[in-house]
Amino acid sequence: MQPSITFFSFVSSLLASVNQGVNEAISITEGQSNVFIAPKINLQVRCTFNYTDTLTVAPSNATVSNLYGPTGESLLNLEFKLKPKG
Amino acid sequence: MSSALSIGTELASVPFDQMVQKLLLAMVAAQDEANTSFIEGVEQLAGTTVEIKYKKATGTGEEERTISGNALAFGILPTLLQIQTGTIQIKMVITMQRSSQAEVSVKAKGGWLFYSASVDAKYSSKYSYSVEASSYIEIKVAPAPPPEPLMKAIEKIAQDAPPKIPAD
Repeated sequence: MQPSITFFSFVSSLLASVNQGVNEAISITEGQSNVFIAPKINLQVRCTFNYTDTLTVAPSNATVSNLYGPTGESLLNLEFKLKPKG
Repeated sequence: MSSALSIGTELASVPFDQMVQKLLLAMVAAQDEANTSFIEGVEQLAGTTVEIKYKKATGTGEEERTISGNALAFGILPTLLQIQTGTIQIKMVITMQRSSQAEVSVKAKGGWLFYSASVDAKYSSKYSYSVEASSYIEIKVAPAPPPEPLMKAIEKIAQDAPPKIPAD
């Protein structure tokens, strides 16, 4: 079992998850007087990068940390900003 | 989900998109509560009569007089607390799970589902995992103006049913 996925899949999956969460929150509060938007979402992910044929990444958690050790961790900073529908 | 290949799945983790969604909805719920308290405060004050007694000197002595009126009429108003901006920062870990189910294709781009678990004392103790070593998500939230159709509806209600002020 290789606990890592390609960097592209990792970033695109995170983006899809954040979009999904924000869209669901917007649709649930649609028509209400109180509407909150998230103009900015920062995500800092501790992860371990591996490169063999492709660049793969494993987000840090207890399992991965025990496997690789905390010293091999990198930081991935992602900033999501709201883009108005145009 | 049961047939999915689990990678580092931890207890008490929730799908990542739900975590984002719940955080935003929590702000809405908090503001709703504040609005409800404000309306209750107005109703409570509207039913409260304030009496101010004082003594007025007359030629022969003193005469007790009373000024009374509704609390709102005396300018006692409840305060509406409004969330201007909010920042939520959560220490968490991300775990992944491969999914082959077609129905979750929207959530699981590339066949992966993300789960997040907040790193609290329980998690930290159970897995001997340092809070400082965790990832975090920081969400800035701000209130958006109500939708235009709703504002028009409110204006219409205010025009058709204005507050009634009794004549003197």
